[in-house]
Amino acid sequence: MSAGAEATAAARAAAAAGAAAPPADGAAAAEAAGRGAPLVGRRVGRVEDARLTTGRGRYLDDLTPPGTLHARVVRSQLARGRIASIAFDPDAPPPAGALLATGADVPDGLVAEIEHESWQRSTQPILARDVVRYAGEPVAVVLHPDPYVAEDAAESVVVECEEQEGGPVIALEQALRADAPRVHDGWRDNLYMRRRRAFGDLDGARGRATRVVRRAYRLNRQAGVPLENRGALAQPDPSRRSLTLWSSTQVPHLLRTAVADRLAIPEHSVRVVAPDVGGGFGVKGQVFPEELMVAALALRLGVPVKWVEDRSEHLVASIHARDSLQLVEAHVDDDGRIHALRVQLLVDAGAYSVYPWTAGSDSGMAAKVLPGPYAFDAYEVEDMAVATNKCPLGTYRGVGRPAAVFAMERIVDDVARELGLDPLDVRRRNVVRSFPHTTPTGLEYDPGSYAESIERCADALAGERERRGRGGDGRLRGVGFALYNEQASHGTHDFHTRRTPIETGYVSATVAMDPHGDVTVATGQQSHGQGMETTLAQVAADALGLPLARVRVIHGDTATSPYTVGTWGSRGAALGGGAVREAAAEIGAKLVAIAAHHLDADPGEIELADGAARVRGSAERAIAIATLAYWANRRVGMLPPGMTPALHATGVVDGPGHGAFSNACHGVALAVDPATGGVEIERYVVVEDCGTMLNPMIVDGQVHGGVAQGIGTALLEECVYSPDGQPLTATFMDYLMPSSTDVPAIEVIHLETPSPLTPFGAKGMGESGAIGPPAAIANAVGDALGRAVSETPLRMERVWRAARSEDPPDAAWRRWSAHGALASFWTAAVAAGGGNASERTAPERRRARARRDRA
Amino acid sequence: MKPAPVEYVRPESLELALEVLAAHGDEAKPLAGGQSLTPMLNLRLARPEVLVDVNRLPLAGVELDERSLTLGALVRHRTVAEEPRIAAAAPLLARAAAHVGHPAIRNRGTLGGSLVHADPTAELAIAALALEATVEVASARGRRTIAAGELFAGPYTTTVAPEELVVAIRVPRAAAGERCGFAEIAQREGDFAFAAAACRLTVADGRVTAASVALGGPLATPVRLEQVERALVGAAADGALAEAAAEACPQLDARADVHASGEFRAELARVMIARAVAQALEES
Amino acid sequence: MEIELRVNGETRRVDVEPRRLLADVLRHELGCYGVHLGCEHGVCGACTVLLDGRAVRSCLMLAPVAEGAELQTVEGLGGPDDPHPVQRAFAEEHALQCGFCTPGLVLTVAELAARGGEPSEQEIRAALSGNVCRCTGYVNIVAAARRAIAAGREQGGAPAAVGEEGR
Repeated sequence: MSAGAEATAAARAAAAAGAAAPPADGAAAAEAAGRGAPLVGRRVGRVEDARLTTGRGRYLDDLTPPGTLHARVVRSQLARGRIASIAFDPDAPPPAGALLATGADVPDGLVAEIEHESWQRSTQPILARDVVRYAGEPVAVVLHPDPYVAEDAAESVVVECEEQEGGPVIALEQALRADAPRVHDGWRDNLYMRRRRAFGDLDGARGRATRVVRRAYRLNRQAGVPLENRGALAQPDPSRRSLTLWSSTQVPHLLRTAVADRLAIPEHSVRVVAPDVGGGFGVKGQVFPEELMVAALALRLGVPVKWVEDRSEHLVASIHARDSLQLVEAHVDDDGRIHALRVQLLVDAGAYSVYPWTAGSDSGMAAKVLPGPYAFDAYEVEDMAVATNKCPLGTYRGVGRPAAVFAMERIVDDVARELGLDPLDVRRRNVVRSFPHTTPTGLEYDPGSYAESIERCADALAGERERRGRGGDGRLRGVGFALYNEQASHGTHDFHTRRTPIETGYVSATVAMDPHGDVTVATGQQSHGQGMETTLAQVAADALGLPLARVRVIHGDTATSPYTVGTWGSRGAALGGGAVREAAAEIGAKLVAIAAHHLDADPGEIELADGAARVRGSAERAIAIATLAYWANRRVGMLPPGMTPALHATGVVDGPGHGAFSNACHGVALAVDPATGGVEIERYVVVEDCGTMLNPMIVDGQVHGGVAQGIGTALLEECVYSPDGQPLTATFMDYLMPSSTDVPAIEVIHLETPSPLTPFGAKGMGESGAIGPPAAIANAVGDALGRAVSETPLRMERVWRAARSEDPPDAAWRRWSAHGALASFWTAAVAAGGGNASERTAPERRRARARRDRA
Repeated sequence: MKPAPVEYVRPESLELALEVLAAHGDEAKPLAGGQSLTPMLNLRLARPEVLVDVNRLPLAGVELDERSLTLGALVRHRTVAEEPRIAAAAPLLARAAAHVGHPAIRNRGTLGGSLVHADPTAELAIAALALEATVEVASARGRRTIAAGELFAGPYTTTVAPEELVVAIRVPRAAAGERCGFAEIAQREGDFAFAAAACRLTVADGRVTAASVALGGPLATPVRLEQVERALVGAAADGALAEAAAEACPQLDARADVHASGEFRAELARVMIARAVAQALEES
Repeated sequence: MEIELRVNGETRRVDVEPRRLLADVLRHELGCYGVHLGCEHGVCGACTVLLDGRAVRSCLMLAPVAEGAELQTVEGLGGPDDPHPVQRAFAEEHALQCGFCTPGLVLTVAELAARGGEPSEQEIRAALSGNVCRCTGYVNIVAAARRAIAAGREQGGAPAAVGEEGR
């Protein structure tokens, strides 16, 4: 082993030891609560773990009421076709007891649109009626009391379907052509939306620049893949006037509204319950046709109907993610300062606009946030959401941010390479240093630690930066970084600006104290791994001076929780915690007032701690909270005159208009085997700042998990289609998930810049770990190879070929920018700048000529 | 994804098992570890009429004599990887077994099952070729022996007839002065290999006196590489040997799939040959 | 067909088609819902149970094949009021988030801890590589495994016998 590799191995071992964070102090926390120390901010052990470590969790497939019919969905074999007929095969009939339902038996499908002049509408059917638009699309469903037999019966269904003329539209390049078949009849092209906006003084900025760097970047299609597949179970009441729908969902209330809407029944007759959910990551934040299908069929048949997808169905027909192309043109000066950025941003959004976030979600968000932590104000962006005959795209951890950060962080490194500068210096030269800062697209950044995070991350990897290059083991070592911020906890205002079907960014919670003085927190959010049963309990317990064990958090049930948008968009702690605190504070004020009345004290002298309301500084002048609670609920005569009885309150928190911005710098040191293209991550460092942390243990866990997913995006995960639209990655043999040998010991360094805009100053960071790795890893591989790599996943063959490629660095940009559908954004720029990879601008050429003439 | 309806029998003796296989021919499949067959049943890619559970048959012996090691077909991968007698007598086999899948797969998967499944990337198949193993099969009509070189007919296809059952595998014990190497590469640890190479070398007086090299991954079946073996025999056992072995690898018409092109697989084959040879040389 | 399974120390009789996966029988016939299905093709490890002390994928076993073996699911390891040291280690290290992969990983770590020894971080990671976790990034799971292995050493746990043939 070379000295360099040895040193890195030693650093890795130290890092692994350091990365092992202190364990949860459940017992200590309980004690501390007894002594009055706050729980918020502590590594409190999770309430959820008692049941989840012992197999006593209950997920969707664990529920099967008597009389359930199991649903097996029949899916389109063709990517694009016209359905002629669907029926059981008369020559190979199904087992007895099998029922067949088709599009005629279910309501109309889902529409999700953005208000924009260019928007073209699609309807995602519950079961396809006349036309199929992607291989895997639901076309029929078979019901049977036995799930094995339902699958047998589904094999007996014959779907007569003819390919449509022109064949399916699969590749992005093909979808953009003017003569391409239309994914949706009657559309003028295959674009859900196309929008071009310019901000700031582009001409002035370009005039000040001396160099232009043009590149193309690609994040290929992947899937979100929570470990628990999707599933839904609908149970009608005996009178068939109401219905309970269990679903492995992140958005119970949104689902309830959609069910009421699609089935044309009152929303108060629908109850949606999310049981334990085995991971969501945004995938389970859409409303799916299959959920509506079971609801409709259950009501119609008067029996419970249950659907659970298998892994192949998930990989082919849930939602896909990422799949974006970014063409970037940076106008810079010789010091690496960015003066202007022009970006053309495309997302291959598949066959339908999914509900409720729409096909424009990724591209719109990426365009909005792309400038990130950098202080240039001339920015022009054209964003496009493209339709193809593939699985629809949906929201997956990070949504459009990974694409935005990939483009921004890759161009920073490419600019550095062109100019012979240290990529960290380019970041330092451009990073936002004073707050609040308003971006070209109008986002207002609350204070963050952007510049400091660069330094902390660079320091952590100082040794690795020195040991770059070819090691004794023949491998090439490189270091790469990604600096970014993340808009989180964004409020209603932000959704209003997106013009999506839903304008909503708020979270609600109710808090109730029962006659025993125990507390129930009902949050409209739905916890699927984030530990809300613990973090929200910490908030309520602190607000009411109670030990954690006296607070119970219930979630995911529309019957018991106030309307809320669900859990996504990195807001659970910041806004959800805020809503709980608001409601708890209301109850706390009442307890204090009752106690003050009986203790003959001023309310300002009363504190809630250790389960009692006591006059500060006095041991005897105290009343147990349980006593106060009993009075308020059951002995109303004990209340101060005029006080309303009972102890329950609702808190509603809307996020700040632009959200709050957490930030991070990711740094990765890795080794590339040039003989095989194999990439091994040796150290992964995250310097992150999400403001106040309610539970640092949970924050660390979210970072680790997000980074692992980002590593999957960067190195392993891809959804591949054949040219005729057949999915080729339909099992875990072909869709590769990061395992324990793919993810290194992740080192997390916390900075804490509280936000002035949110309760607690927390900012939200659930997604952020997943946003940085594609850029950081691509930058590191580029550093190792001495050649940029610009497409994920960086599987072995891609790296191996990149190492041997002699293409000029702007080859991909040239190819794409010449495409008929894209060229007009570049034509004027090319005429002005000459169209080479990086070269002096026209003004600079004039100045150079003038200097020559003078000489 | 659930299996299609299927009959199941668990014969109490080898004779009874062979009778069932004889009666049903290719509509019956023996079921041992199930690590390869059950996924295919679940995906409904395999739809036999009858599954013959052979797990309780007495076919899991480990026997050593002076010249060879005989393993029952039901010896689990984990045992092949960890049993000290096997590691001592046939280190190449033990090393290959340690690369199979993941621990839970190795707990159930069997040596016989792996050979008969004949995945083109199967580590034990590759090692069996390099070791010139012989496979003993039984049927209602008697027994016969198949040399490893004659076993693999195509992807997932062997020369074992449907009514035959693999009962034992015999490999020669490692001779004095024999070293071995096994090198495999896949996108992730435990995945089906892009390329995996096994080699046995005998070195005397600084020169290679005997060599056996097998490759799996790029082609329809694992193969012996006689050209590489010829290049090795007689060559100096020095730092240039590994490269020479790689260069002697013939042009491979390697298969392509979602994970890798044929060109890349062929290139990785050369790299793995070099690494297996280097590994063998490092042994003393 | 009628089969008899030994599950968590009890003998249970069920009447099922032979094609039923052990995972489904454990879950729906025997109430062991801690066994989870994540892929049904033997890759993700969520369905892991212990068979004669060895971790196996219950989605790759037809139920009748498991007759005669001692099966242990996560429920048999410990409950909310009396968790097994491995289960406690997972909670203490925050080695789970959504909990779906957790039973499979707990049993895999239980087998690993029973083997004893002092595996390195790389060896621990290799031993866990057949279990997919989507939430945690494995960092805390490795820490939990280390904690469980150390606890096993203190209790003098003997390594599981190797070389068991047949079953």
